[in-house]
Amino acid sequence: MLPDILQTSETTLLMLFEQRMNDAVFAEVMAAANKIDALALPGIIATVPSYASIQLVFDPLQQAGGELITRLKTLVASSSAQSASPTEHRTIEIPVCYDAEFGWDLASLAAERGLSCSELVERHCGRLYQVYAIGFLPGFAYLGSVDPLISGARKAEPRRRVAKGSVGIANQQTAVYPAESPGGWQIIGRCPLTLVDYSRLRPSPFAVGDQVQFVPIDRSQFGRLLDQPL
Amino acid sequence: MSLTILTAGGQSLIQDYGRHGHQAEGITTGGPMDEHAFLWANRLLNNSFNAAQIEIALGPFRARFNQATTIAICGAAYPSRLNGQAIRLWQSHRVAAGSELTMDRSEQGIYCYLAVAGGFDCRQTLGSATTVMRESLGGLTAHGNKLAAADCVPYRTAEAPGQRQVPERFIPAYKNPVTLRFVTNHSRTGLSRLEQHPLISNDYRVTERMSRMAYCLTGKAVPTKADGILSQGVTCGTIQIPPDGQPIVLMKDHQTMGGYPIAGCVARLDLPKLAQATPGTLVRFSPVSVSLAAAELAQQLRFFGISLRRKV
Repeated sequence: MLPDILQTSETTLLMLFEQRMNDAVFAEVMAAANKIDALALPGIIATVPSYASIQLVFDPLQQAGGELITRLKTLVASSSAQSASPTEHRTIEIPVCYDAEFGWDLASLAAERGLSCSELVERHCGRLYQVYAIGFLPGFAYLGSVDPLISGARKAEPRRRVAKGSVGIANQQTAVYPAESPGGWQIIGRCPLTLVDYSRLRPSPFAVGDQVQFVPIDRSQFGRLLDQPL
Repeated sequence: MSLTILTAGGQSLIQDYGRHGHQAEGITTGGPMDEHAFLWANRLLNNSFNAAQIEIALGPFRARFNQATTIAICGAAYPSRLNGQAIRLWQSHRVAAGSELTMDRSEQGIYCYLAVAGGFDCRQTLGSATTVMRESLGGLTAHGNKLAAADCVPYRTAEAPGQRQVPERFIPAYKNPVTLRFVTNHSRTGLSRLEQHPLISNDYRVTERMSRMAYCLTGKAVPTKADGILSQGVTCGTIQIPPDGQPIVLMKDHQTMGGYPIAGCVARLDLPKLAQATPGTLVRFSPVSVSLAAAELAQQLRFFGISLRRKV
């Protein structure tokens, strides 16, 4: 299904795919994003993909919105047989300590789901997650999808402070808070590493399309890894 | 060469034109809330459009210029004095070494911009010195701190530009009510024309919940098909409609992703009017074609010599 493409402001275009969170739609998003990146059009300031959309930020002195839309419609409709090789995507391992000291909501979420804490942890670590979107904070990656048996709604009252590195669940998503921040997700553990580094060319360790694997570690490993770079 | 802050006021922040190109990593652009005032201040001094300034919100603000320079102050009408003498805004002024600047709270408007010839010389991160507090980025410390008393802000040597002032017709009066033109969004994650109707036929008011991230407005509830949408990229000026139907306009420090239905996007040239609107100000939304808005923005970009290049 071809996406709608509209100009949403003087400097932005929005490509809207079928509004569902699933592998098939996301694959279309990634294919389109790869084609756009391969074009390397002048005047494209940023390409921001997410679950079912791509936002393009452009310089109106270098590109006209209407012409850009026409160009993109042709591009997306074109067969992918000749498309450039897709951008490299990686699998990133994130160590997490699920001790009660860090997993503030682990016990209550497990009880609510009729599981033991260790079962919940096993189910959290037991699958590979897709990076669907990055936003809310620099390097905050929305990961999906969580095993339905361990999903939990956002907390009715968000916390004013969620510790840096906290790992949370909200419905079908999981994520790591890269910095201390207010937050409403169910917090089940903490990653000791420093994920975002502004001195890097790409400060965020995650890009949309990457995959994430959580790896459980104990308290003393947590201590040794604390504040180390990813 | 440096300026010493004597009284920092409520929120004084180093701002340049913004940190562009990193939205895909969740890093917002930031930048001046009142772009119009910011750009004129740099133009008066023959600075690059991107030269860093001090954005002052909630005075009073006092500072000492340790070396001679030329300055310009543009924005909300903060009564300003140089060594006790009243000085006009929207105009450049030669400043002798040791001079003291005092800016009192403004009766009207919120944001004011202090620029120096050559710009303030602050470390850049990801190509910009702009301060985004919640991202711990930018500013004097490069870690997102606002300015404080005793801070020393360096500035460069620069050729003294001649005395210049902004033509009267370009100096805004920050009015009430404010009309915000906006590019409508009738996409599948936007509003239908029926849903949009209350937004364009009622007055809204700016509430106390206003910040560099977003301004929350109140008025007749705008209906939406769903409470939320799959998060998608948003830009400054985006008008979001949360479940309670009370519009939110995203500003310069907005989060890069939004999960609420989108009514549209305020015209970039109209955002300064909202930025300068104090709580209680009446706001009217008026649809505008994207081509007209784009033509106006292009004209402004050319006038101020603004050029954005893609980061890696």
